[in-house]
Amino acid sequence: MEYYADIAIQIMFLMMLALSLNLLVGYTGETSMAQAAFYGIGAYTVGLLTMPVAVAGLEIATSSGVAGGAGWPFWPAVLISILVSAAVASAISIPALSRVRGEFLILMTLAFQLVTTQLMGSLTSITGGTFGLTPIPPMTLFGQSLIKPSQVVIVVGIATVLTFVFCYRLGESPFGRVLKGIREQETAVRAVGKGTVLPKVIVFGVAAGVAGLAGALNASYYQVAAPQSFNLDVSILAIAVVILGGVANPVGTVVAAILLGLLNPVLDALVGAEASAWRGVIYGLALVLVMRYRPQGLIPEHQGPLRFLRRRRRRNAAESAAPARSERDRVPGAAPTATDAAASRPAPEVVLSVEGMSKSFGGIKAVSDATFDLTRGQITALVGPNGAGKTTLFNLITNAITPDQGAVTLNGTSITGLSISEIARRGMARSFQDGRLFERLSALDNVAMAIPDQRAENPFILTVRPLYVQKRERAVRQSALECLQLVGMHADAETLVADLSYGDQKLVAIARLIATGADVLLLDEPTSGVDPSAVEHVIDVISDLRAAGKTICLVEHSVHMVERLADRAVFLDQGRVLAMGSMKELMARQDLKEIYFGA
Amino acid sequence: MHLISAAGASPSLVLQLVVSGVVLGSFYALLGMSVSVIYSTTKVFHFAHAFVYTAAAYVALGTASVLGVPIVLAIVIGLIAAVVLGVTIELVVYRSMRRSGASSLGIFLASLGISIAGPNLIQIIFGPDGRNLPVGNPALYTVGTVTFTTWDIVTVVVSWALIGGVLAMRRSRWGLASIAVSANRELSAAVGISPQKIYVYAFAVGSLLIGSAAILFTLNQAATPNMGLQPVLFGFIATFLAGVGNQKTAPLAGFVLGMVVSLSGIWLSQTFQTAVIFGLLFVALIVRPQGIFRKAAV
Amino acid sequence: MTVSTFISRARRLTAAAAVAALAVGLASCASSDAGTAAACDGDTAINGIFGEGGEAGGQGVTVKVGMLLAMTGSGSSYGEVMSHGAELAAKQILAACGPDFEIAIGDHESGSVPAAVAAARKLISQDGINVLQTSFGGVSEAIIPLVQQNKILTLQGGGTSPGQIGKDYLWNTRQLFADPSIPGGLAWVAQTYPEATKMAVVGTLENGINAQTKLIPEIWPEVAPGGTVVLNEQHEVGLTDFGQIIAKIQSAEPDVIWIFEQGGDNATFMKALRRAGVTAPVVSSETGGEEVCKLAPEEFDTVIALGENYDVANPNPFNEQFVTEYKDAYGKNPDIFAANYYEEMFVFWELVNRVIADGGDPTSGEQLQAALAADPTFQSVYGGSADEVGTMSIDEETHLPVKPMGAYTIKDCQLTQVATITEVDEGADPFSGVSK
Repeated sequence: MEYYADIAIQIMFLMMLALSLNLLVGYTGETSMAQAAFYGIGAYTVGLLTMPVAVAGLEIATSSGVAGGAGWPFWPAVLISILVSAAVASAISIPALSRVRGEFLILMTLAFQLVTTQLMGSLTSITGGTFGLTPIPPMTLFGQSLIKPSQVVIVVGIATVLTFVFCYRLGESPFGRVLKGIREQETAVRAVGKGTVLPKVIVFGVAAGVAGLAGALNASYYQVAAPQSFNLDVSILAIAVVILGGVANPVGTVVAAILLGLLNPVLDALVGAEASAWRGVIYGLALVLVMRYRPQGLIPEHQGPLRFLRRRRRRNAAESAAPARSERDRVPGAAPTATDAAASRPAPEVVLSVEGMSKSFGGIKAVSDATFDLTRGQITALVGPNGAGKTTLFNLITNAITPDQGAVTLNGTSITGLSISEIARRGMARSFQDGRLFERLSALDNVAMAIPDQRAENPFILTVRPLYVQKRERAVRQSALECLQLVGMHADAETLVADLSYGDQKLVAIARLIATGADVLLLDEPTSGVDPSAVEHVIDVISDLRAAGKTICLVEHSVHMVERLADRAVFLDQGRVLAMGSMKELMARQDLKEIYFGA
Repeated sequence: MHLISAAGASPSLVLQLVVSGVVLGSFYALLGMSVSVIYSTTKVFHFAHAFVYTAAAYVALGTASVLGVPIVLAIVIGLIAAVVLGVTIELVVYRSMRRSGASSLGIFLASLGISIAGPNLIQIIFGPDGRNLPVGNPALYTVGTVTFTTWDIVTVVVSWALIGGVLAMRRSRWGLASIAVSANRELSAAVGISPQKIYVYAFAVGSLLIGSAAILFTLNQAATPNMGLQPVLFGFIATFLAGVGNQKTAPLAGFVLGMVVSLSGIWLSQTFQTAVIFGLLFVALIVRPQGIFRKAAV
Repeated sequence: MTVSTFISRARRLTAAAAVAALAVGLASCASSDAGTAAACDGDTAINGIFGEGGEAGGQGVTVKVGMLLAMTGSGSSYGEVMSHGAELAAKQILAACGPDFEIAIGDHESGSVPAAVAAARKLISQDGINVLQTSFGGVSEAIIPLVQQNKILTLQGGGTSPGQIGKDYLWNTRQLFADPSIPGGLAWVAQTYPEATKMAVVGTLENGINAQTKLIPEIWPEVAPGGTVVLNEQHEVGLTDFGQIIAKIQSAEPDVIWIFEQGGDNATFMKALRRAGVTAPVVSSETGGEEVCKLAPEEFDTVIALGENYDVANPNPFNEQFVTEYKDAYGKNPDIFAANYYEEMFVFWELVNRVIADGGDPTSGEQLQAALAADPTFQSVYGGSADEVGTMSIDEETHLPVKPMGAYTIKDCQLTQVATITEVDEGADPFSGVSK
């Protein structure tokens, strides 16, 4: 009985560690090789806090010469352990996450893991060195010391369930949606006006805090904290659990933790002394095979026993949605026809002005001294041959690429040098030629991501005011659904974007752009790759947006499209603005026509 | 604790550490070159390189001490095994993953899996204890107060010869093609260079280099199943410090790293060395993510 | 590596693979060759020393003995000899009409604390052990709360550390590593190398840190006129590149080097040291570890082992039969670790007999410990003479034994005693601890 309780406890520690890591690897798409270090920081903190205060003449006899601890009671010490782990993680992640990602982050967290393990072994007067910090007092509950595994298993079990619920809810919350957005397309998250560094720093801290909780319980159960319990091997094991189980799926993590956790006792019985080596072979190979043949893991995201929750949500969405795309809603405030709208249009008002924008790449001038304005309620098209610098100009205006020179003024305020997310918050948003949608999110979630001012995305509010968040989230989803209705995609609201056709994806991208609520919209080739039947549809949506008073700038290849849509065109060639005027006027000029068609 | 070593910086110590630093630095330079050849060309975070390293050493000492093959032949067999293993990993695992559209993170995780499974398999076959390559004791040379052995000379000469060879190959057809692939994969495919072939070439060369490093190591030290992790990490550190994609400076970064490790012994106790070196790497990556030997990226 | 070990490895590999392939369900079928109620005649060599067994000698009683050993990892050679010693003793005791000591082994993976705690928990709750034999320092400190809470009498014969002194339920049959031999040992070094003044100390942070950082720097200047410690370097366990430390040794030019290395580090260090041309004598506080010696036999020939040791040639009849039977069973001489875990089994037997005599429960750790504390003196393979079995006693307060210590030269990985060292009280003359 005690033996099985012990095995259950070991598995649950692994589970908690992997669940916390899944927040990073699964939801945010950032691989950390240092999760065991934060696990260890929690363990050592609880040890140092709960060990009895050193009394002169009654030193704790250890080999290390650790004098004693702070003599704290157990639960306050656990709380501090969580906070210390979280704080350390946030502190180191600020520089790491704002500057680097991907392989750099792997190498840096690897470095942090190795430094931490070595310091645990070397700072003997604090940590007890390689022998570990011992004896740490056992955990207590209602003044009762819990020593037997059959007692501890209850506490650890409750902690694991809470961890699971916490990680699941966080992952499925608006905050989790932002994390998944970062995983799928970090620039697109910024382009809809959200910072991405803060959410990453927060999730790093939260994940480390959960690992710290697991570490604190671990140290109190084993009554010892030693470097080997928190080394690189443990970090890698946690990664293996997350990957095998299925990223961004806490249910998968739980299943994989049980499978890998049971390997130990089973192999003990089968091969005895070589169990640990065999375990390495098995989970190493499992990792290779899963990545090769089933990269989504045993239980992929959006599947598993908990999917009924999502299905229910889908049904709700479907009920409130109209069936066919043709029955799309009109943009609110849009006048019935474009001509009517043009008649009632007020005097031209410059919303955005771009002045002297220049950028060179290694001596080649991509954009050179470009100057033009956008006028309220008008559609301005950037036209020109391939490589004229149209998309680059978009990138420069939104500061996705830092210009060498030039100024951008939005509504009379300079926005030069502001980040793309800040620019979006000030009312200018852009779409991308290649869509940059969040592929493994539903169409609705894609659009919901862009709805501005979402206090529900704050994980703190999520924790203290869950009901408010629920209410708020319902409103956000409703607005998102309305945006989808504008492009006629509401029937596919709960479909994963990856499962949509290319044309439909483009429509979702436009819905996402609308959802930002921005007044100035920069559209990069909104109809390229869209099937002809849908092109009309896109044109209608864009003219509706103009009628609703939005200022629109689009990069477009089809002369036909520009002629139908644009009030004005800016002709670019080799990074220079050659001419401005209506498309008809421009196409009347032979020189431009030759440049354009390469005649 | 004993953070600061009591040794003090006597001239003879500094000289000896400089000599050790040259040997260690040459070894790290070879590691840096090996990792860089693969990483800069294929962008695979090839953690399984650690297994290739270990396998080269164990195949060599296995054939030499179990089958009684002459030592030079055993070393050649070890190197062939390294190349075969490295190329097999590319062909069987990475290539098929790339074809099915795996992310670079996914490929890294598969690589991590190989680096766990491989050494554990070696431990099951050979046992966890250290094993020596059956070579005799090296001759000792003394210059003033400084000493070094035949193996030190061999390490320096072989390392730089291999690095020089790889750098010289950059001017060959293969070399130019791999530079093209590392600069722009799609474009080079368009002009008729097969990235697939170049990847195999990169894995073969990188594996040969890491296998050579493993043999050089086993001349002096006992091989253990987990011997591969640390050298490959140092290889990656050199690669990233040099600036990713900068093959020419990776050996230089490795050499500097070796010198720093060695000379830090003047002030620093060994028990803090890993912490300090990885701490420095941590800071370097934050301050100069583009590499210490590289101007800021455009 | 020899062909035979390669083949046996390979065979185990295929065997294990075959077993693994045979579905997990078979796990429960893993059978142990349970002690057949072997006929005993009460007439073995052991009976000559320990009496005829029978009911008063615990016959019919089953005592489950746990062993927490390094079965994998860099110290697995230690685990092997320790288990050999204990298994031989259990076989002999059963054959001598004593109790049936059933052995269950747990693996701490050469000093991994989490592995050790998990293994100890399994031994206690799954295997239901009554007593435990533990090894290594750190892992044994880590399991102290566990054995105390479960009242498991535990004997430590191979890794006594300061954290294991005077702990309830934990009794040591090996002396503290290094410390007791340091004063007498330094005095012996001063006598043997009268010209030596400069000493270098190299070791890990794991064991003997007190000897490295306190005892030697204090006592060496006392025993050697003008003596100084010119270098005191600690490093990580499992270091492969000693280049830097050796450069420091070369630069400090010590007359004597005292090392505190364990396992494979010993061989790595000695090879690197001699290859760098350093010829100064090396004193090592590690006296066991024949397997490690074999990694660098030539270099070890220049080492002087100093500390507690076990003498294979001791003519004491208990020891003589032990060496003979051990050689028969395992084909080589026992070392200190085989000897300690062997004789610990006889300590358990003696305690079982005492508890039975008092009408108690011989499987109760509490009663066994009480019986131990009442009279902590036992027959031993150490000491004694050709006609008399030696004795070992454990201090009631510190739970530490007094064992013979000496200085030994090494040839072909065999130790030869050149001096006897005894522990001296703090402040006493270190030279009183040396006798030739």
